[in-house]
Amino acid sequence: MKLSVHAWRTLWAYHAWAGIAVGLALHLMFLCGAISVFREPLGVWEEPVQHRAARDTLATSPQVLLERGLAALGDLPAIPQRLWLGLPKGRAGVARFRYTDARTSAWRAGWLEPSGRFTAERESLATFLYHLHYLALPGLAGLAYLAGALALAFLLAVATGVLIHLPYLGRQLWRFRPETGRRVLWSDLHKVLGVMGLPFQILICYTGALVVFGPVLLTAMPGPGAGGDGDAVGQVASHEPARIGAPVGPGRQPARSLDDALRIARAEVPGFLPLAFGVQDLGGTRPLVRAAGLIEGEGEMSASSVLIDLSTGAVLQVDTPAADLASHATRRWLSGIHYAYFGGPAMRIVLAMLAFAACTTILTGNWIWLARKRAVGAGGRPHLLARLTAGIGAGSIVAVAAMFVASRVLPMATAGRSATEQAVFAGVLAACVAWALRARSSSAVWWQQLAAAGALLASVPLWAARVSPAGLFGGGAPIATVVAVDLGILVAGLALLGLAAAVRRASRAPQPSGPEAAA
Amino acid sequence: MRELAALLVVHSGVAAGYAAGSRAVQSRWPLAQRMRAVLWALGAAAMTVAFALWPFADSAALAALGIVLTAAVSASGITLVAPVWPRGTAITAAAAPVAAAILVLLST
Repeated sequence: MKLSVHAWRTLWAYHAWAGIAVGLALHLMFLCGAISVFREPLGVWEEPVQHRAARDTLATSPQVLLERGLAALGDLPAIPQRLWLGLPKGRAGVARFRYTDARTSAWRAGWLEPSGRFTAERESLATFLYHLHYLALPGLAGLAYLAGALALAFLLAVATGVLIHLPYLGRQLWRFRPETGRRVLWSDLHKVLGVMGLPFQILICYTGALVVFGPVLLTAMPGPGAGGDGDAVGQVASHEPARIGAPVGPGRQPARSLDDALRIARAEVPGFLPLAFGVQDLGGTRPLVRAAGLIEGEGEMSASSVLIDLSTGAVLQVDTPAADLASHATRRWLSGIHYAYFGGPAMRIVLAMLAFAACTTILTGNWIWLARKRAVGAGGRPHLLARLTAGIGAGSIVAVAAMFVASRVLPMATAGRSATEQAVFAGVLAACVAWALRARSSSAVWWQQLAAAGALLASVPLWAARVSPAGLFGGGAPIATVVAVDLGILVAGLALLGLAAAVRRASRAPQPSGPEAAA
Repeated sequence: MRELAALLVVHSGVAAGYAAGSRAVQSRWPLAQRMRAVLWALGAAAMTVAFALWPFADSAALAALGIVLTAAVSASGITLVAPVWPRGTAITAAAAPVAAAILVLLST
């Protein structure tokens, strides 16, 4: 298919301007997304209290864990309206206990060690980076909708990119010429990573946009699904049962504990493996518990839950893959694909690599646009976009690395350590952007900031040894999850140092001239 | 372990496709038409083996998706690394099925 010159130019303009307008924000989202696929092991790694085998906690019954959590809240005037008990998901970790503050209704959380000791939550590196992935910054949760809009803009850039390159895709698919000069190198990188990464980019942006906008679309059109009952649709959109009231099964006998609730859940869902219990109105007139978990042998996409009335033992709602509402099934698949609830840890490494490839595709797109601008003689000093691309592109990696270092350097007992870490991230990112805006050469900024990020990241496992003996250099009894995270961070740091050396070498190499360089 | 074995098999399959389809490879080491057809067939067989190896807990659709995404990473990596380190690319592609076989044996 050959496009007319007008169509090609129009599509190229859409492709270039969509990329330039949203590229740097998307780079940050992809970077944090690549880290967030490891959110669970990072969550264990960041909190030393969790550096113990999960079996120590899983040997204790859920009811005993709940009672330990309630005992830890002994100084509260009344039992909180809502409680939540999470069990460790992997081979390492302890129980997580959450409750609502009676005054503010905000959730408070902490960790329950097998000894019964309660440690209030104090570290949120993994959660912050996960929230940053969809721009849900503290106090600005509405920015998540902007993230959905950015995903749609990226889809536009991808679609227009495919259309303008369609006649040459076969020829350019395997073509990479690192020795032919910087502009050709960027162009080849952009095309190879862009084309090879197409399935990932389309899938992630499409599922990401629907995860954000799905509930909005559902609540905006209550008629077809629930006869105009906006409240019911709102509950379904939030993945809650539309009606709590009519039991789906008769009450056998009162469920007096979480252990009874777990027995009932297992009777309803054969092979049920509990991961969490949400408790509401404990000690009140109608106490409810939702047992949530997976089905044995059916993978992470088998997330299921059973809602039980503790006063009668009646099952109020069962949510399993086999009994999904259409909206729940859609969300199960969208989230399952977006968050890689399949293929195990190896698949998460694959997704992270594809996310880094998407970052490179975005940044090389900016460089190609700047190179074209230079080719038509616009400007001798580095363009503002070149400075911002370097400052945000490399600066965001330095900021993440600095946040990891801060998380291991700050004493665990420091009050407000999460806020301090977030301030470190924001401060380092701002400093890197300021550095890039003042620098003479943006390519020098690239290798210098990549080297800084690499050095910071590579040092993290050493700093981590101060906090816990369970890691790579801790010297104590190793916990596989903690060692794996330390190792991953070390490898990432060394890879960044290697990349910095390669960029430095490339930036100092003489550039060829002639037709090849302009290809 | 089985999913890691499947990923390794996908990698060697993509490498076979690269050897059969890349113009850069053809210009440096020209292959006979029959040899290229054999490489394409090996690549297709590798994808089928990877599909069979995929963990049973995932549905067929997720297994296919996993293989497509792995092939994307593998193809990007091979295309970028092969021009600067052809020997290393060939060695990893040849070693991948051996490592996959060991993983499968260990997991059974």
